[in-house]
Amino acid sequence: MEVFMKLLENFQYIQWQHVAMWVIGGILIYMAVAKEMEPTLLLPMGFGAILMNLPVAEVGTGVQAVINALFSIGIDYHELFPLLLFVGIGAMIDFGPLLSNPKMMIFGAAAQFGIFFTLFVASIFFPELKDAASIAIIGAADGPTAIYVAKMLGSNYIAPIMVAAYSYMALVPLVQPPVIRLCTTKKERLIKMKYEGKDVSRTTKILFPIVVTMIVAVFAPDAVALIGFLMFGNLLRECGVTNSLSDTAQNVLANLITIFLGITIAARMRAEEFLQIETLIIMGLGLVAFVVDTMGGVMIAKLMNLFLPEGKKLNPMIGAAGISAFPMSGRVVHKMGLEEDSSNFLLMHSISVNVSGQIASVIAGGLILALMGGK
Amino acid sequence: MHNWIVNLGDSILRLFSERSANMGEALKIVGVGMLGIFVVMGAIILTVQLLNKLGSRK
Repeated sequence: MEVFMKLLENFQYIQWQHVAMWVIGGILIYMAVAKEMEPTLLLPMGFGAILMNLPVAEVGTGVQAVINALFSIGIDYHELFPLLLFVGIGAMIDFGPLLSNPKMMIFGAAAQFGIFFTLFVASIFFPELKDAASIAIIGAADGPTAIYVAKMLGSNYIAPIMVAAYSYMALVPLVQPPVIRLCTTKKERLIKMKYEGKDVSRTTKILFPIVVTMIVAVFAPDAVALIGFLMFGNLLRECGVTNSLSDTAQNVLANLITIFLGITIAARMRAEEFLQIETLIIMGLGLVAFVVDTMGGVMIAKLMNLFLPEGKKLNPMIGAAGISAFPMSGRVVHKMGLEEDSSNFLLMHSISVNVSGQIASVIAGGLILALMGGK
Repeated sequence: MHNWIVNLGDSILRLFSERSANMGEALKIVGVGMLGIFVVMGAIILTVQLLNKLGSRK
Protein backbone atom coordinates (compact mmCIF):
# COMPACT_ATOMS: atom_id res chain seq x y z
CA MET A 1 0.00 0.00 0.00
CA GLU A 2 2.81 2.38 0.94
CA VAL A 3 4.57 1.70 -2.33
CA PHE A 4 1.34 2.39 -4.21
CA MET A 5 0.90 5.71 -2.35
CA LYS A 6 4.45 6.63 -3.27
CA LEU A 7 3.49 6.39 -6.94
CA LEU A 8 0.68 8.90 -6.41
CA GLU A 9 2.80 11.28 -4.30
CA ASN A 10 3.25 13.88 -7.02
CA PHE A 11 -0.52 14.49 -7.39
CA GLN A 12 -0.46 16.55 -4.20
CA TYR A 13 1.81 19.06 -5.90
CA ILE A 14 -0.47 19.75 -8.86
CA GLN A 15 -1.93 23.24 -8.65
CA TRP A 16 -4.36 25.09 -10.93
CA GLN A 17 -1.50 27.26 -12.14
CA HIS A 18 0.25 24.15 -13.50
CA VAL A 19 -2.90 23.11 -15.31
CA ALA A 20 -3.26 26.63 -16.77
CA MET A 21 0.27 26.41 -18.15
CA TRP A 22 -0.45 22.96 -19.61
CA VAL A 23 -3.39 24.54 -21.43
CA ILE A 24 -1.20 27.40 -22.70
CA GLY A 25 1.43 24.90 -23.82
CA GLY A 26 -1.31 22.91 -25.52
CA ILE A 27 -2.56 26.00 -27.35
CA LEU A 28 0.95 26.73 -28.64
CA ILE A 29 1.28 23.11 -29.82
CA TYR A 30 -2.15 23.32 -31.47
CA MET A 31 -1.19 26.53 -33.27
CA ALA A 32 2.00 24.85 -34.46
CA VAL A 33 0.55 21.51 -35.57
CA ALA A 34 -3.02 22.20 -36.64
CA LYS A 35 -2.56 25.73 -37.96
CA GLU A 36 1.10 25.37 -39.00
CA MET A 37 1.96 28.72 -37.43
CA GLU A 38 5.70 29.02 -36.84
CA PRO A 39 5.79 25.33 -35.89
CA THR A 40 9.56 25.22 -35.50
CA LEU A 41 9.30 27.56 -32.53
CA LEU A 42 5.82 27.28 -31.12
CA LEU A 43 6.03 23.48 -30.84
CA PRO A 44 9.19 23.40 -28.66
CA MET A 45 7.92 26.36 -26.66
CA GLY A 46 4.57 24.71 -26.07
CA PHE A 47 6.09 21.41 -25.03
CA GLY A 48 8.69 23.20 -22.91
CA ALA A 49 5.93 25.11 -21.12
CA ILE A 50 4.35 21.79 -20.18
CA LEU A 51 7.70 20.31 -19.08
CA MET A 52 8.51 23.28 -16.86
CA ASN A 53 5.16 23.08 -15.09
CA LEU A 54 5.09 19.41 -14.19
CA PRO A 55 5.00 18.91 -10.42
CA VAL A 56 8.23 17.54 -9.07
CA ALA A 57 9.17 16.74 -5.52
CA GLU A 58 12.12 19.10 -5.64
CA VAL A 59 12.34 22.08 -7.89
CA GLY A 60 15.49 22.23 -9.94
CA THR A 61 15.95 18.55 -10.60
CA GLY A 62 15.77 16.51 -13.77
CA VAL A 63 14.29 18.06 -16.89
CA GLN A 64 13.75 21.50 -15.35
CA ALA A 65 17.39 21.67 -14.32
CA VAL A 66 18.46 20.80 -17.86
CA ILE A 67 16.23 23.48 -19.40
CA ASN A 68 17.52 26.01 -16.88
CA ALA A 69 21.07 25.03 -17.78
CA LEU A 70 20.29 25.50 -21.49
CA PHE A 71 18.87 28.93 -20.68
CA SER A 72 22.04 29.86 -18.78
CA ILE A 73 24.29 28.81 -21.63
CA GLY A 74 22.20 29.92 -24.58
CA ILE A 75 20.56 33.11 -23.41
CA ASP A 76 21.93 34.25 -20.08
CA TYR A 77 25.51 33.84 -21.19
CA HIS A 78 26.07 36.43 -23.92
CA GLU A 79 22.80 35.71 -25.75
CA LEU A 80 24.44 32.92 -27.71
CA PHE A 81 21.39 31.23 -29.25
CA PRO A 82 19.78 34.28 -30.90
CA LEU A 83 23.13 35.38 -32.33
CA LEU A 84 23.91 31.95 -33.77
CA LEU A 85 20.39 31.77 -35.22
CA PHE A 86 21.05 35.02 -37.00
CA VAL A 87 23.95 33.39 -38.88
CA GLY A 88 21.43 30.95 -40.31
CA ILE A 89 18.90 33.67 -41.09
CA GLY A 90 21.54 35.79 -42.83
CA ALA A 91 22.50 32.81 -44.98
CA MET A 92 18.86 32.38 -46.04
CA ILE A 93 18.32 35.97 -47.20
CA ASP A 94 18.86 37.10 -50.79
CA PHE A 95 19.41 40.85 -50.69
CA GLY A 96 19.54 41.03 -54.51
CA PRO A 97 16.08 42.59 -55.10
CA LEU A 98 16.78 45.16 -52.38
CA LEU A 99 20.23 45.99 -53.74
CA SER A 100 18.76 46.62 -57.19
CA ASN A 101 16.40 49.21 -55.66
CA PRO A 102 17.91 50.35 -52.34
CA LYS A 103 15.33 53.15 -51.85
CA MET A 104 12.95 50.43 -50.63
CA MET A 105 14.89 50.55 -47.36
CA ILE A 106 12.92 53.65 -46.45
CA PHE A 107 9.88 51.44 -45.86
CA GLY A 108 11.88 49.14 -43.64
CA ALA A 109 12.82 52.17 -41.55
CA ALA A 110 9.27 53.55 -41.41
CA ALA A 111 7.82 50.20 -40.41
CA GLN A 112 9.79 50.30 -37.14
CA PHE A 113 7.63 53.19 -35.90
CA GLY A 114 5.41 50.69 -34.11
CA ILE A 115 8.30 49.76 -31.83
CA PHE A 116 8.81 53.30 -30.64
CA PHE A 117 5.11 54.09 -30.40
CA THR A 118 4.62 51.01 -28.25
CA LEU A 119 7.57 52.00 -26.09
CA PHE A 120 5.73 55.22 -25.29
CA VAL A 121 2.45 53.43 -24.55
CA ALA A 122 4.19 50.72 -22.49
CA SER A 123 5.92 53.40 -20.39
CA ILE A 124 2.46 54.20 -18.98
CA PHE A 125 1.86 50.64 -17.81
CA PHE A 126 5.35 49.62 -16.69
CA PRO A 127 7.29 51.67 -14.14
CA GLU A 128 10.67 50.45 -15.43
CA LEU A 129 11.55 51.83 -18.84
CA LYS A 130 13.69 48.77 -19.59
CA ASP A 131 10.55 46.63 -19.49
CA ALA A 132 8.67 49.08 -21.73
CA ALA A 133 11.54 49.00 -24.22
CA SER A 134 11.79 45.21 -24.13
CA ILE A 135 8.05 44.90 -24.76
CA ALA A 136 8.17 47.44 -27.57
CA ILE A 137 10.78 45.38 -29.42
CA ILE A 138 8.08 42.75 -30.01
CA GLY A 139 7.17 45.08 -32.85
CA ALA A 140 10.45 44.20 -34.51
CA ALA A 141 8.66 40.97 -35.52
CA ASP A 142 12.02 39.32 -35.03
CA GLY A 143 12.45 36.67 -32.39
CA PRO A 144 16.25 36.77 -32.00
CA THR A 145 16.26 40.57 -31.78
CA ALA A 146 13.45 40.51 -29.22
CA ILE A 147 15.30 37.96 -27.06
CA TYR A 148 18.62 39.78 -27.43
CA VAL A 149 17.26 43.21 -26.49
CA ALA A 150 15.07 41.91 -23.65
CA LYS A 151 18.01 39.99 -22.20
CA MET A 152 20.50 42.86 -22.59
CA LEU A 153 18.08 45.23 -20.86
CA GLY A 154 17.53 42.71 -18.08
CA SER A 155 13.77 42.67 -18.59
CA ASN A 156 11.64 40.79 -16.09
CA TYR A 157 9.28 39.61 -18.79
CA ILE A 158 11.42 37.70 -21.26
CA ALA A 159 9.07 34.71 -21.53
CA PRO A 160 5.85 36.58 -22.37
CA ILE A 161 7.85 38.81 -24.71
CA MET A 162 9.13 35.72 -26.53
CA VAL A 163 5.73 34.08 -26.71
CA ALA A 164 4.18 37.33 -27.97
CA ALA A 165 6.94 37.93 -30.55
CA TYR A 166 6.75 34.46 -32.08
CA SER A 167 2.97 34.17 -31.83
CA TYR A 168 2.40 37.45 -33.63
CA MET A 169 5.01 36.56 -36.26
CA ALA A 170 2.92 33.48 -36.92
CA LEU A 171 -0.25 35.61 -37.02
CA VAL A 172 1.05 38.06 -39.64
CA PRO A 173 -1.35 36.68 -42.32
CA LEU A 174 -4.25 37.39 -39.93
CA VAL A 175 -3.11 40.67 -38.37
CA GLN A 176 -1.77 42.61 -41.36
CA PRO A 177 -4.48 42.38 -44.05
CA PRO A 178 -7.27 44.15 -42.11
CA VAL A 179 -4.86 46.89 -41.05
CA ILE A 180 -3.66 47.36 -44.62
CA ARG A 181 -7.24 47.56 -45.91
CA LEU A 182 -8.09 50.10 -43.22
CA CYS A 183 -5.20 52.36 -44.24
CA THR A 184 -5.60 52.17 -48.02
CA THR A 185 -8.27 52.79 -50.61
CA LYS A 186 -9.26 50.32 -53.32
CA LYS A 187 -7.68 52.59 -55.92
CA GLU A 188 -4.38 52.60 -54.01
CA ARG A 189 -4.39 48.82 -53.67
CA LEU A 190 -4.79 48.51 -57.43
CA ILE A 191 -1.65 50.52 -58.22
CA LYS A 192 0.64 48.47 -60.38
CA MET A 193 4.37 48.72 -59.94
CA LYS A 194 6.74 47.67 -62.67
CA TYR A 195 9.73 45.69 -61.53
CA GLU A 196 12.92 46.74 -63.27
CA GLY A 197 15.28 44.20 -61.85
CA LYS A 198 18.71 45.70 -62.41
CA ASP A 199 21.60 43.32 -62.27
CA VAL A 200 23.56 43.52 -59.09
CA SER A 201 27.22 42.61 -59.38
CA ARG A 202 28.72 39.82 -57.32
CA THR A 203 31.17 42.35 -55.85
CA THR A 204 28.28 44.46 -54.56
CA LYS A 205 26.63 41.43 -53.01
CA ILE A 206 29.89 40.49 -51.27
CA LEU A 207 30.70 44.02 -50.10
CA PHE A 208 27.15 44.73 -48.88
CA PRO A 209 27.27 42.66 -45.66
CA ILE A 210 30.71 44.00 -44.79
CA VAL A 211 29.77 47.62 -45.43
CA VAL A 212 26.45 47.41 -43.58
CA THR A 213 28.17 45.96 -40.51
CA MET A 214 30.67 48.81 -40.51
CA ILE A 215 28.01 51.50 -40.97
CA VAL A 216 25.91 50.08 -38.14
CA ALA A 217 29.03 49.86 -35.95
CA VAL A 218 29.52 53.60 -36.38
CA PHE A 219 25.94 54.71 -35.80
CA ALA A 220 24.48 52.00 -33.55
CA PRO A 221 27.31 50.02 -31.96
CA ASP A 222 24.95 48.13 -29.65
CA ALA A 223 23.49 46.45 -32.72
CA VAL A 224 26.85 45.17 -33.99
CA ALA A 225 26.50 41.71 -32.48
CA LEU A 226 23.12 41.17 -34.15
CA ILE A 227 23.92 42.77 -37.49
CA GLY A 228 27.39 41.25 -37.52
CA PHE A 229 26.15 37.69 -37.17
CA LEU A 230 23.31 38.33 -39.66
CA MET A 231 25.72 39.73 -42.21
CA PHE A 232 28.30 37.01 -41.57
CA GLY A 233 25.67 34.46 -42.55
CA ASN A 234 24.86 36.49 -45.65
CA LEU A 235 28.53 36.71 -46.58
CA LEU A 236 28.83 32.93 -46.36
CA ARG A 237 25.97 32.76 -48.88
CA GLU A 238 27.12 35.43 -51.29
CA CYS A 239 30.86 34.82 -51.48
CA GLY A 240 30.25 31.67 -53.51
CA VAL A 241 33.21 29.76 -52.07
CA THR A 242 31.67 28.54 -48.83
CA ASN A 243 28.54 26.85 -50.16
CA SER A 244 28.81 23.95 -47.71
CA LEU A 245 29.05 26.40 -44.79
CA SER A 246 26.13 28.39 -46.15
CA ASP A 247 24.03 25.22 -46.49
CA THR A 248 24.97 24.16 -42.97
CA ALA A 249 24.09 27.59 -41.58
CA GLN A 250 20.73 27.69 -43.36
CA ASN A 251 19.74 24.17 -42.45
CA VAL A 252 21.59 22.31 -39.71
CA LEU A 253 22.67 25.29 -37.62
CA ALA A 254 19.37 27.15 -37.93
CA ASN A 255 17.33 24.06 -37.10
CA LEU A 256 19.56 23.02 -34.20
CA ILE A 257 19.49 26.43 -32.59
CA THR A 258 15.76 26.73 -33.21
CA ILE A 259 15.16 23.46 -31.35
CA PHE A 260 17.20 24.61 -28.37
CA LEU A 261 15.86 28.16 -28.41
CA GLY A 262 12.24 27.11 -28.40
CA ILE A 263 12.58 24.73 -25.51
CA THR A 264 14.96 27.03 -23.63
CA ILE A 265 12.53 29.95 -23.58
CA ALA A 266 10.26 27.65 -21.65
CA ALA A 267 12.71 28.09 -18.74
CA ARG A 268 10.91 31.36 -18.10
CA MET A 269 7.44 29.90 -18.57
CA ARG A 270 7.00 28.64 -15.05
CA ALA A 271 3.51 29.45 -13.82
CA GLU A 272 4.61 31.84 -11.09
CA GLU A 273 6.51 33.97 -13.63
CA PHE A 274 4.14 33.67 -16.57
CA LEU A 275 0.66 33.84 -15.06
CA GLN A 276 0.59 37.51 -14.23
CA ILE A 277 -1.68 40.31 -15.41
CA GLU A 278 1.41 41.85 -17.00
CA THR A 279 1.54 38.92 -19.44
CA LEU A 280 -1.87 39.90 -20.82
CA ILE A 281 -0.83 43.54 -21.05
CA ILE A 282 2.35 42.50 -22.89
CA MET A 283 0.35 40.41 -25.38
CA GLY A 284 -1.90 43.42 -25.97
CA LEU A 285 1.00 45.83 -26.40
CA GLY A 286 2.71 43.38 -28.76
CA LEU A 287 -0.36 43.49 -30.97
CA VAL A 288 -0.32 47.31 -30.84
CA ALA A 289 3.33 47.27 -31.96
CA PHE A 290 2.55 45.02 -34.93
CA VAL A 291 -0.46 47.07 -36.00
CA VAL A 292 1.34 50.42 -35.77
CA ASP A 293 4.39 48.98 -37.57
CA THR A 294 2.12 47.98 -40.46
CA MET A 295 0.47 51.40 -40.46
CA GLY A 296 3.85 53.15 -40.37
CA GLY A 297 5.08 51.40 -43.48
CA VAL A 298 1.84 51.98 -45.39
CA MET A 299 1.64 55.64 -44.39
CA ILE A 300 5.15 56.46 -45.55
CA ALA A 301 4.29 55.01 -48.96
CA LYS A 302 1.14 57.12 -49.13
CA LEU A 303 3.17 60.17 -48.15
CA MET A 304 5.71 59.49 -50.88
CA ASN A 305 2.88 59.12 -53.41
CA LEU A 306 1.91 62.75 -52.81
CA PHE A 307 5.16 63.74 -54.48
CA LEU A 308 5.39 61.09 -57.17
CA PRO A 309 3.93 61.54 -60.67
CA GLU A 310 1.23 59.28 -62.12
CA GLY A 311 2.78 56.16 -63.51
CA LYS A 312 5.50 56.17 -60.85
CA LYS A 313 3.29 55.89 -57.80
CA LEU A 314 3.89 53.19 -55.24
CA ASN A 315 1.37 50.64 -54.14
CA PRO A 316 1.20 51.60 -50.42
CA MET A 317 0.63 47.97 -49.42
CA ILE A 318 4.33 47.26 -49.94
CA GLY A 319 5.12 49.50 -46.97
CA ALA A 320 3.44 46.95 -44.70
CA ALA A 321 6.11 44.41 -45.66
CA GLY A 322 8.71 46.50 -43.83
CA ILE A 323 8.29 44.44 -40.69
CA SER A 324 10.90 41.81 -40.13
CA ALA A 325 8.63 38.76 -40.47
CA PHE A 326 10.51 37.41 -43.49
CA PRO A 327 9.26 36.13 -45.91
CA MET A 328 5.72 35.92 -44.59
CA SER A 329 4.95 39.61 -44.67
CA GLY A 330 6.26 39.99 -48.23
CA ARG A 331 4.08 37.08 -49.35
CA VAL A 332 1.00 38.47 -47.56
CA VAL A 333 1.32 41.79 -49.40
CA HIS A 334 1.89 40.03 -52.73
CA LYS A 335 -1.19 37.87 -52.16
CA MET A 336 -3.29 40.91 -51.32
CA GLY A 337 -2.12 42.56 -54.53
CA LEU A 338 -3.18 39.50 -56.54
CA GLU A 339 -6.57 39.44 -54.80
CA GLU A 340 -7.19 43.01 -55.92
CA ASP A 341 -5.88 42.43 -59.44
CA SER A 342 -4.65 39.05 -60.60
CA SER A 343 -2.12 40.71 -62.93
CA ASN A 344 -0.50 42.81 -60.21
CA PHE A 345 2.73 41.12 -59.11
CA LEU A 346 4.13 42.91 -56.12
CA LEU A 347 6.35 40.08 -54.88
CA MET A 348 9.77 41.47 -55.82
CA HIS A 349 8.90 44.87 -54.34
CA SER A 350 7.38 43.46 -51.18
CA ILE A 351 10.26 41.03 -50.61
CA SER A 352 12.76 43.88 -51.09
CA VAL A 353 10.95 45.86 -48.43
CA ASN A 354 10.67 42.77 -46.22
CA VAL A 355 14.42 42.13 -46.18
CA SER A 356 15.08 45.80 -45.49
CA GLY A 357 12.81 45.40 -42.48
CA GLN A 358 15.14 42.69 -41.20
CA ILE A 359 18.05 45.15 -41.22
CA ALA A 360 15.95 48.01 -39.85
CA SER A 361 14.59 45.96 -36.96
CA VAL A 362 18.11 45.06 -35.86
CA ILE A 363 19.15 48.70 -36.06
CA ALA A 364 16.05 49.67 -34.06
CA GLY A 365 17.04 47.13 -31.41
CA GLY A 366 20.57 48.53 -31.28
CA LEU A 367 19.32 52.10 -31.03
CA ILE A 368 17.00 51.18 -28.19
CA LEU A 369 19.91 49.56 -26.35
CA ALA A 370 22.05 52.64 -26.93
CA LEU A 371 19.35 55.09 -25.88
CA MET A 372 18.41 53.01 -22.85
CA GLY A 373 21.99 52.77 -21.63
CA GLY A 374 21.89 52.96 -17.84
CA LYS A 375 18.12 53.54 -17.56
CA MET B 1 -22.02 53.23 -11.20
CA HIS B 2 -21.12 56.92 -11.04
CA ASN B 3 -18.65 56.24 -8.21
CA TRP B 4 -17.06 53.45 -10.23
CA ILE B 5 -16.49 55.75 -13.19
CA VAL B 6 -15.08 58.51 -10.97
CA ASN B 7 -12.75 56.05 -9.24
CA LEU B 8 -11.56 54.71 -12.58
CA GLY B 9 -10.90 58.21 -13.84
CA ASP B 10 -8.96 59.05 -10.66
CA SER B 11 -6.86 55.91 -11.05
CA ILE B 12 -6.05 56.73 -14.66
CA LEU B 13 -5.08 60.31 -13.81
CA ARG B 14 -2.93 59.09 -10.92
CA LEU B 15 -1.24 56.58 -13.21
CA PHE B 16 -0.48 59.28 -15.79
CA SER B 17 0.93 61.67 -13.21
CA GLU B 18 3.10 58.93 -11.64
CA ARG B 19 4.43 57.86 -15.01
CA SER B 20 4.83 61.33 -16.55
CA ALA B 21 8.61 61.26 -16.11
CA ASN B 22 8.73 57.83 -17.72
CA MET B 23 6.57 59.02 -20.60
CA GLY B 24 8.80 62.05 -21.11
CA GLU B 25 11.89 59.84 -21.30
CA ALA B 26 10.07 57.49 -23.65
CA LEU B 27 9.09 60.38 -25.96
CA LYS B 28 12.74 61.42 -26.21
CA ILE B 29 13.70 57.85 -27.14
CA VAL B 30 10.91 57.79 -29.75
CA GLY B 31 12.14 60.96 -31.41
CA VAL B 32 15.82 60.14 -31.38
CA GLY B 33 15.23 56.50 -32.25
CA MET B 34 13.15 57.17 -35.37
CA LEU B 35 15.57 59.82 -36.52
CA GLY B 36 18.43 57.41 -35.90
CA ILE B 37 16.87 54.65 -37.98
CA PHE B 38 16.33 56.94 -40.94
CA VAL B 39 19.88 58.31 -40.65
CA VAL B 40 21.42 54.82 -40.58
CA MET B 41 19.21 53.47 -43.37
CA GLY B 42 19.92 56.61 -45.37
CA ALA B 43 23.64 56.00 -45.01
CA ILE B 44 23.17 52.39 -46.14
CA ILE B 45 21.06 53.48 -49.15
CA LEU B 46 23.72 55.95 -50.28
CA THR B 47 26.45 53.37 -49.82
CA VAL B 48 24.57 50.73 -51.80
CA GLN B 49 23.95 53.20 -54.63
CA LEU B 50 27.68 53.95 -54.67
CA LEU B 51 28.51 50.23 -54.69
CA ASN B 52 26.06 49.69 -57.58
CA LYS B 53 27.67 52.52 -59.55
CA LEU B 54 31.16 51.11 -58.94
CA GLY B 55 29.95 47.63 -59.82
CA SER B 56 28.34 48.73 -63.08
CA ARG B 57 31.47 50.63 -64.22
CA LYS B 58 33.46 47.40 -64.31
